[in-house]
Amino acid sequence: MDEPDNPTSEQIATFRPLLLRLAMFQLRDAALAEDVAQEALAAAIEKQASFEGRSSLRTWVISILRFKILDAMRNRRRLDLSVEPAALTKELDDSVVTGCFDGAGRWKTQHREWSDPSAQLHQDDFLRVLESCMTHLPPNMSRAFMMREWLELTTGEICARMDVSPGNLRVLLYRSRMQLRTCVDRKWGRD
Amino acid sequence: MTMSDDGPTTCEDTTWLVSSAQDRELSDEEQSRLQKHIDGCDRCQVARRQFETLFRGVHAYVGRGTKEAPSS
Repeated sequence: MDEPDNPTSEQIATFRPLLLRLAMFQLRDAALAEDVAQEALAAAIEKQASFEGRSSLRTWVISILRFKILDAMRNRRRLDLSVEPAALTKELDDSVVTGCFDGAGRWKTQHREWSDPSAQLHQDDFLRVLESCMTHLPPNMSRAFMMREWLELTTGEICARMDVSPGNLRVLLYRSRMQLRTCVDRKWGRD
Repeated sequence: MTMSDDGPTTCEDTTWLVSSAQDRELSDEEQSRLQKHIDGCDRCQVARRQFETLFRGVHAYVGRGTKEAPSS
């Protein structure tokens, strides 16, 4: 196989908006997100010769940001993700989810199939819809969801980082998935 | 509200199981309850496909999958 061309600094810099959005979904703090996204970009530019093309440039740059955030989380003085009890109580409100089901726990409506986003043409659109829906997740739900789905921390690790009980984390993750499904269902095309 | 511990498995229960399966391996009993309910429930069959599409999309978005994603 041919060696891939090293990405240019300009190519790497095009991912800045994406890195900022991902950092915001995880941290929900604009100043911290800006700092860590900038650090990740600088590291990617510094290490651009080590890009081997085994993944896409996008995936490679995101993985650098992921490691930067994990590093920052290990240093609690820099990054405290513990929840505020009042904010958590508000997010644990049942309304979004219970609105989906009748009194017997049955879906109130028959869902329609989503258009298949697996074709490349549609996948970009689907991911934009998804991204837009993620901006509407409340802060603690967003942090918990991203720690699980992006940083791939165990639930035990997330409980420790956020200082929440396993039961509350389970509810946060459940609500985030339910809310995303509902939001995507409203915005994504159907067959 | 969380999953009911007794009585027949509801659509809402299945959503808890589908979510939990993202975080841990379901027990054989849970897997069986989930499958049995979904097999007989049109609404949950569609909802499960939607969740599967959603989870694949999330993984593609954060670079966990192998599929390409938007580059801006």
